Amino acid sequence: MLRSLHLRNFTVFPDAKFTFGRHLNVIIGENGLGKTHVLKAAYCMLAVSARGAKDSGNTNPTKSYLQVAMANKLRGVFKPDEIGRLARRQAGRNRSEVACHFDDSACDFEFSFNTASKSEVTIDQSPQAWTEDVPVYLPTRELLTIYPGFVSLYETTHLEFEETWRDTAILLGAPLAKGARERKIRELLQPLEEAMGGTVELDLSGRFYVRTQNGRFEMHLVAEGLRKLAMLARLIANGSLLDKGYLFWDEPDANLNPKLVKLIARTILNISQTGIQVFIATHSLFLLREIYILQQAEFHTIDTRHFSLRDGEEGVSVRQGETVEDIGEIALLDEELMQSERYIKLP
Amino acid sequence: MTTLQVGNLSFQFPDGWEVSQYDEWPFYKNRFKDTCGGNKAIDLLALDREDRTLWLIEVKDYRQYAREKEIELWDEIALKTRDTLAGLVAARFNGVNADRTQAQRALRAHRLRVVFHLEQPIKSSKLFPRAFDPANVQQKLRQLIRPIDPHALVIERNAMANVSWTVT
Repeated sequence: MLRSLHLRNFTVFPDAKFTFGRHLNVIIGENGLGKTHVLKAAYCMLAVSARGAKDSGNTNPTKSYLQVAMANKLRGVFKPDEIGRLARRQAGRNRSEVACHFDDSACDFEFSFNTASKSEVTIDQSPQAWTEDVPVYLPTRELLTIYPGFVSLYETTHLEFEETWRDTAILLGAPLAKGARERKIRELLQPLEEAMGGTVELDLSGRFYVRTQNGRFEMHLVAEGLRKLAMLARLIANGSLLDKGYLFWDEPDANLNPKLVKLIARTILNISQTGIQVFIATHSLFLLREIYILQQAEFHTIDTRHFSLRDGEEGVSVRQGETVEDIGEIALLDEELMQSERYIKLP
Repeated sequence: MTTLQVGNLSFQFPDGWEVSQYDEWPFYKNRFKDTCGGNKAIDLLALDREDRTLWLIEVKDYRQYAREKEIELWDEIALKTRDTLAGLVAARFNGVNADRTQAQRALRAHRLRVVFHLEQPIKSSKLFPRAFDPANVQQKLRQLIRPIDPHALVIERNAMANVSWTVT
């Protein structure tokens, strides 16, 4: 489990420490306050560590490997012109520091870079052990329609797409899980498949389809919102989102109508209950409330943290607590209320 | 049963409750209202003697009258709540006659609850079936007055959230 993330002078954050919940972490904030940056920073560190043993060919982490791997991951995921562009912008040179801490402190790791860094980072604390679980990153859009050939194209040419897309596309192509986990997978999949009206299939040609009673439909012919469900369903079906690991999901509610947001909220809680540590960033009051209602009614044991990002003279700061009530004002709510005030004052 | 009238709304409280229109208390009207540059008042104080709960009830009825005040609705309720609590404490020590004894009894309650009774404008609009989403107002109010009542309620005649009084 990822216990905390500390960002100093990183993008918009002068000094922000996030202490995460075991199951579900919800990041709330207006556009431009760095919600996605939090998800991506944590994802980069977890992704580098999870692939460390395989990619470095070394069962023990080494600084020299991490320096290169971490810098490459940041460049691939954030796509800055140079690494130094990720340091918080202010007068003079500035050093950016990022640290993450785990339940198992042997995995703790810290790196830093400065405004002048081109393509390198310094490893300030090297982990003693690699993490085992592969993190999953779901961007705001679905990836099933671009899947055919995407990974090989990404690897062989220069594409401006973020590396999270490639990483997730690789996971989408994994074979379906078999054995003892199948029953749990069926339980998680059932409501998603009901909403899609069918099951997700990966054709030998490398294209995804939804198979329904009326035959199979190319993913391009399926509604955008349902494609997001299909992407989630596929990752559950192949075991990428089950039992252990991490899910980072940027705006799960994007492109979904309220009925599907309701389903997504339940699925998020279901997934986190199986043991996946979930991190979401959202603008949706509807999603927040749906999660709250489900937690009060059914998911009593889900350990949740809410994080509210707010802009101030000193930069973006974070306020955190167990519930939405603990994190003070919510811009989303205030805007809805102000709209009601404008409406009620119409002549 | 005790009945109190607030504008066009009639509030019926169970027997044994001590209820009053706080802004009619002589202590508030004559002495406290203009203290410290001015104090607001919520509409009703209702003491459930059996349950030892003091209810502060603010009423807004937009069915006929438009809203004109500049201050945001939720800020207004929060300020009224704060000012009323200050007024009650002042009346408890410095009020005379009924005001003083009533404030004494009110402040002996074990629980403090805040209720905002909001009747919405009868406008028909597809985009705004309700001018205010009561869930929004309730969440905002709970944020604003959390140390006073973290479970403040926003209710209306058709959705009374299990309170013990009725409104017609």
